[in-house]
Amino acid sequence: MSREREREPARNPELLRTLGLALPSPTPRPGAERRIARGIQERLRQPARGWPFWAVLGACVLSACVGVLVGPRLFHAPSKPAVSAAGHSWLALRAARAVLVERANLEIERDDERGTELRLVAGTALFHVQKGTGRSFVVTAGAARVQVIGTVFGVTVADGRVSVDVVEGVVRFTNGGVTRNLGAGETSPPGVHLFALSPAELARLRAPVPVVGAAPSAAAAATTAPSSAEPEPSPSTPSGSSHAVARASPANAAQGSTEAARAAAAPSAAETASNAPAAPNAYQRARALERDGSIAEAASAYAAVASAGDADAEDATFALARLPAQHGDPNAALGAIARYRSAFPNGRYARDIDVLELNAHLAAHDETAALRDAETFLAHFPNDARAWRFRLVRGASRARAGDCAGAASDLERVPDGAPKTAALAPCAAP
Amino acid sequence: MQGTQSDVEALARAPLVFADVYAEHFAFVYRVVARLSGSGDVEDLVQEVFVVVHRRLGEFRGDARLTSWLFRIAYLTVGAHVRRERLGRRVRELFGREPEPSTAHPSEELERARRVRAALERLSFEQRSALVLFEVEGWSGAEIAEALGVPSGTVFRRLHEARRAFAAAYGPPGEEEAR
Repeated sequence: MSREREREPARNPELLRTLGLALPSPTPRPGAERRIARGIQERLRQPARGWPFWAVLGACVLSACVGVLVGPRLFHAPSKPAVSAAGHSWLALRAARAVLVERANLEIERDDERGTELRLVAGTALFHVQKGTGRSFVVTAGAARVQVIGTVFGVTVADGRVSVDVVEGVVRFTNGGVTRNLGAGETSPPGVHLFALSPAELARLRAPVPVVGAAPSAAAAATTAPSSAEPEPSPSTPSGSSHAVARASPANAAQGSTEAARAAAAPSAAETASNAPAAPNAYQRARALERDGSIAEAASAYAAVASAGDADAEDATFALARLPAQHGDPNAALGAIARYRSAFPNGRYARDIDVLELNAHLAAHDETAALRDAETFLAHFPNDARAWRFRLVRGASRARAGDCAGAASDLERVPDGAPKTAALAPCAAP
Repeated sequence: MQGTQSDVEALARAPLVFADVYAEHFAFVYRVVARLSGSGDVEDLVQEVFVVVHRRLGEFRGDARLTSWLFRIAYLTVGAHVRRERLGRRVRELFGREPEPSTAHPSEELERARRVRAALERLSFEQRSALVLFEVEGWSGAEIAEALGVPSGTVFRRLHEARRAFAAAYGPPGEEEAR
């Protein structure tokens, strides 16, 4: 018995009775669940609450100080995202506008006359993509992919999970090998709305987007004025840059992180509009092939990049493992996974590779190997955001083996949206 | 029915859905909020907790029990509310704007409830939470410690201080009957 256990005092029934006189009933009143649900829905429809007066005053003073100190630097670095008073960063792309919420990390893989390809590494970003430009617009986040023609939507990456919220238009959302269209008002997962913008910010996001490099139509020219009081950010377009990174952190925007410096090094919108667009590099061409559904050609292109050993080699090697895993070829995926690990033992995708391997073993119905994956991962990374996937597999395996206590212990730490009941089913059977 | 491995794999990718969390854990959150707040604003506070849950659901890492995560949000939300209310009351008292207690003669039970509430007011939110969770909800010290993310010793110290402060303000339990 532990010391704490020994020290645990006895309960006092009189105290229980006395306290019970004053505490509200722990049982909800009839209809409370429905009433509160309605209240939550109304609250979520309202714009985010404003800051208290003292916070606004403090922010104004701080902003003034920051403006005096770093204003000239910002003035000379127009490609950095403009940071709004609400702490969001605004980024002008060729035919789209993006808002990066708080600490969102968005990599611009391509932004040229053919289309825009962005990778959301972390956080929430919202986009307004101008319709009718004929350009493709793709946001990838982990293994998920959102493709649009013209719309207003948001994407969030948190702990490896991707959420999408569509305000206007339709997006094609691919995640976990499943592709489906999401229309206006739809979200994935259902009911998880991401928008935390004020009405003014939302109006600014939804305002028509000036299309860089295109002759402005009369209608567009008439409506390109910003719709809110906030100034429109400079039309910074890190176009044609490979892996330009935009981080929403005001500190980064003000002080210039390495990533922001890379973004700043990209040509400005004016330069891009006057010069011929930079040709996509080999990796970007491979991504374009994959995006267009030419999987075999994409794989060949990725293989060429991987063997070239340049800066994109790791991304390409990971893509060579991801592609077969996503397209139902677990054995090919396992071979590519081994090659990635051999080439990049401490690579950026090391934990993602672990998940790919687990999924490949499950897809190949190799329970022993999947269980080994789970044991290894949980021994080394028990607190990783992806750990619950491995716990689910180990819990299911323990349940099948009759170790119901062990299974319950694992599944206790698996989110409730996962199929815990199915995993525990062998223990529930008579 | 036992799920196949591919079912498990496919569903393992499914993120948490707010509607499911609400439906499954509403009663738990309501109970926690009612016990910790000790006031009549329970429905408003439960709504506040679930608005936070909605906003933060994507951040739930799955490396702790969902109920522990929900408890933590409820604890922080109710704690902030209680401290705000107390501050407001003190400000109103300072400016003489706190309403006078009713001069009507309440029933004996209502009067005792008022005195219990007044005695609980003398405890910090942390002490009151430890007292209520231990004595009323029957949680063990270890369970409270895990939920609050503090050592068991801290929980027992808060409990000891809470009992002493409550007894000083209200009188030892059972005293009412002896009178």
